[in-house]
Amino acid sequence: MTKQMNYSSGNGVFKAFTTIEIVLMAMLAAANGVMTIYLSPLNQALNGLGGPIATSTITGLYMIYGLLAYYIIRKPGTAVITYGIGAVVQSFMGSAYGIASCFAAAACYMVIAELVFAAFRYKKWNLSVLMLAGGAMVPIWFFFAARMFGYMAWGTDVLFIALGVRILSGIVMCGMLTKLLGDVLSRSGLLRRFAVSSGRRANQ
Amino acid sequence: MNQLHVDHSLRRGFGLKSIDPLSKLVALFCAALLAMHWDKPIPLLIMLVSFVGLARYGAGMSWPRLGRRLRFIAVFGLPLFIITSMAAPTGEAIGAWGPLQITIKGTEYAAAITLRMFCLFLSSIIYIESTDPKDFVTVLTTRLKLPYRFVFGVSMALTFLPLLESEGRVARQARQLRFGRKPRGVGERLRMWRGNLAAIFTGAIRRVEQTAGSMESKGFGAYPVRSFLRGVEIGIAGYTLMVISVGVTACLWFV
Repeated sequence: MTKQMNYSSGNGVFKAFTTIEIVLMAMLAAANGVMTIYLSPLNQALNGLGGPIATSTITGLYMIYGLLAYYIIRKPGTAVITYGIGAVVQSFMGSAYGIASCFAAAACYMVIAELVFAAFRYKKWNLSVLMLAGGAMVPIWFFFAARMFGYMAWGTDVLFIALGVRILSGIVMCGMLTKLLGDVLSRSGLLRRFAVSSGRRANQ
Repeated sequence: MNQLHVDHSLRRGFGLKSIDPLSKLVALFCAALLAMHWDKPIPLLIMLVSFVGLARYGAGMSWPRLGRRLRFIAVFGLPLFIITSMAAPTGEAIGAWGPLQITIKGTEYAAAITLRMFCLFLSSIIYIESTDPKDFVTVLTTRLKLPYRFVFGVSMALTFLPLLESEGRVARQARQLRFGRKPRGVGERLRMWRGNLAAIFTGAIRRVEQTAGSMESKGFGAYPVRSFLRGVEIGIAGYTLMVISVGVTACLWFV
């Protein structure tokens, strides 16, 4: 059977990304997949100790790859692509929460990350903005997760504690760690072809 | 011109393995919607039993493999059951432990939530076991019309995953050897874990420039269009699965 199969490389926002940026986003999504494997025993231990509330403490770590990609690349659409790739990778790795959860979580994270950086017109990349983005990415997905996994029946006080812990985790484990990791990698010279390095040079 | 031979015989298998990834994805999302809609244990238990059968006879999973997967999710499901049954006490109490109450309705609800988690997990495992990631990537471009440069990122991440995993494992073992003993206390464990995290991300980023350079030298992204060696067609079975999934979900929504 002979068939012509032509498929577009994309337009608009996707054309703005260079090959190296796409590779970076893919690699960070893969690194997140590896991190998920290593976090699995910790996640299981926390789950055994305090169920979903205890696992909330490390929620931020699962979002770090998208924010780190955004911090390094600094182009609109970065979160959409990175979290999109990450969702597929996690789906094929067999997440405990199911494929639907992987896609729903990624969709929540990408929308909020894009909105936060758009609100600052892609010009502010300091610790406060990253912490804001890390914390802001949590609540929408928490609402969906609460509906999916029955947290809604827990009672308002327990629900708010769980949400508070998750937001704190988003701020510290995602926002702060992104800044820390991004700056360390930038200083190492590995990111000299990315916006994060030129941003650092401009600030110096 | 991008003319080539498309060999559909590359896709082999029986049962669910012979159906395209998109049709199965529609079925998976229908099952997920239904599982999230129900909050009674009986329909979710029936769904779970159906999924166990589908995993064994549709996706071709062996019983021991299926058992291992179910044990994995039980580690997450059991604490969820205990916490939900204690945190959602409604109706008549059947037992009390200090301020904590166990009620019939609360236990029923906890059972439903736990079964839901099992259903969501098992339906995903069935999908993974019966789907070739390469076919999924092809479908994203050919059927969902996503830009191929983005979709190639998915393919690349899946390719590099085992490599980065083995690299991370070696780095972790090397760090443990240098340390001379197992880490003690929270502080040492955190330091060790921080080093592992940095090694994983650094290992991934270290490859970026080299990989991108190789891709560009081979002309990646030079043309606005691309072709695929493997074609994925939505056959009669695929369309039937989609129609049945949507129809059954609509009918069972009011159960």
